[in-house]
Amino acid sequence: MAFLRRELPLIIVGSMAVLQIFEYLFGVPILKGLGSEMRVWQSIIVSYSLLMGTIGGLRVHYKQITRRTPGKWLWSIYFIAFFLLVCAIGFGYGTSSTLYMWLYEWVTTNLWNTMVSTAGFYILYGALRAFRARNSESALMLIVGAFIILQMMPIVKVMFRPAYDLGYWFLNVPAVGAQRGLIICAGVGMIMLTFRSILGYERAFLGLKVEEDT
Amino acid sequence: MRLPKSLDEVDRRVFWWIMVIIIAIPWIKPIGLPIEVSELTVNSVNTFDSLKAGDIAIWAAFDPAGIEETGPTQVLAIDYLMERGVKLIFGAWYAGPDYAPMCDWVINQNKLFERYEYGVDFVNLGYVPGGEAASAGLANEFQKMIKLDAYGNEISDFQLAKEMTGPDSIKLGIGKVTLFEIRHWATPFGIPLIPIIGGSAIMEYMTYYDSGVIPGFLGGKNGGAELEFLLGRPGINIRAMDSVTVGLILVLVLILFGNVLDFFNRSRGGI
Repeated sequence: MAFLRRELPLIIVGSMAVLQIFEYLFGVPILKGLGSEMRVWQSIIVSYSLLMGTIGGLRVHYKQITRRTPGKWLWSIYFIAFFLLVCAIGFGYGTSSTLYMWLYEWVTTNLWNTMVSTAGFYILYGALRAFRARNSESALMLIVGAFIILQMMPIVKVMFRPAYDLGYWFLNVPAVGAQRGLIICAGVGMIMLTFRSILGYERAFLGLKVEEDT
Repeated sequence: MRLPKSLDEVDRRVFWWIMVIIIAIPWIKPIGLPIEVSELTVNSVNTFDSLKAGDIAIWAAFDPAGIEETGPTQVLAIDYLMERGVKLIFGAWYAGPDYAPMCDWVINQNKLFERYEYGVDFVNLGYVPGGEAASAGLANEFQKMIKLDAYGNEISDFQLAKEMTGPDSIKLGIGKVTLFEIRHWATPFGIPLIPIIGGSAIMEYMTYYDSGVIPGFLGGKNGGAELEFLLGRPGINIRAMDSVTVGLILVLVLILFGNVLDFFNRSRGGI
């Protein structure tokens, strides 16, 4: 039983990862066929995982309701009610139907936009507090930030080109350089995590507790 | 009424109301500030123009939170491509199924069902599960991975799907094309990608643009306004740029004012 819970998943993960890596890097025909098959399987497994996630989410909210968790159970009722409504409309009329799209366009996307737009107000206030020239570093950040803001205005590009060029340089050279560093670090981290997963050192995804791990 | 010693003394709602009013004015009464097109947008349109009638492009659905920022740009780009005779495959695979209705949204915005033939000129795949695996699969094994379209029809019935024989069939990736497509389309097969992204992602994609991995991208409202200007189709993005510009000027003025207050406060021996 322990083999099924620990070693077998690790063997599957390791072998699939090695297959995909070799298929991507070396393009050997037999590996291409296997890799192609695995990608189709992955697509099917993700579909099932969506179903599992939905069931898990509903269970959590159902428990909130039955336990009358203070401050949460009413919101869980709203969630399940709206979930059932959207499912009924989707299954009954189709996900491309006028009613479903109305719900999506005028409720879901507007809620998303409200969240994103509200952030704009907090960004304004945060910028006013952050861009204070209290020392040399913050003064430098203020100057760079000001030029990047100027660069975002089309009128500056037309009427005062040097300010736009300097802002574009800040964006394109130091900022992009730092971004490249982040991307490289993330890539190296991902490679290390992959090797750890292949070799079986990374077991968090198995959901094992620490004492079971040994 | 005395001046505040610091902007921290001022209720933040004052700034919010000032921002709302300042941004609303040019929206209601457009100023018509000039726009100059950047190299990014020129390269993006050149990439569109390099496609021939009958070429196939794949459009990746974007998130509903970006519908106001990038939605008009997406609609315009799709319209431009389809008018040139480019065939489009719409799909959502980057995140969850909540992106899939964006395919329907963008199809409805362009009235594609009225103007073009479904199955020949465009196909809607809807949600394609698998994330990165789906992205790789669309290029490498389209016929094997995709069995049904978004409406439950057999994909093998469609002329456009029959033309998808391998990575060479894809001439362009557009929409929310991400690192997945860079890894599985652009890098191995040289498929050009034109991401249409929000302003917050510009720096990330600038690294790929500078490296030559992608020929261009359309970022935020700026990119959308430049696209409208370059294509000669003024729309909501150009109109919004007045508000964006005025809003940014407000931010700079308030930052400057705050620093001037701080300076005078410190010079008088304040905190």
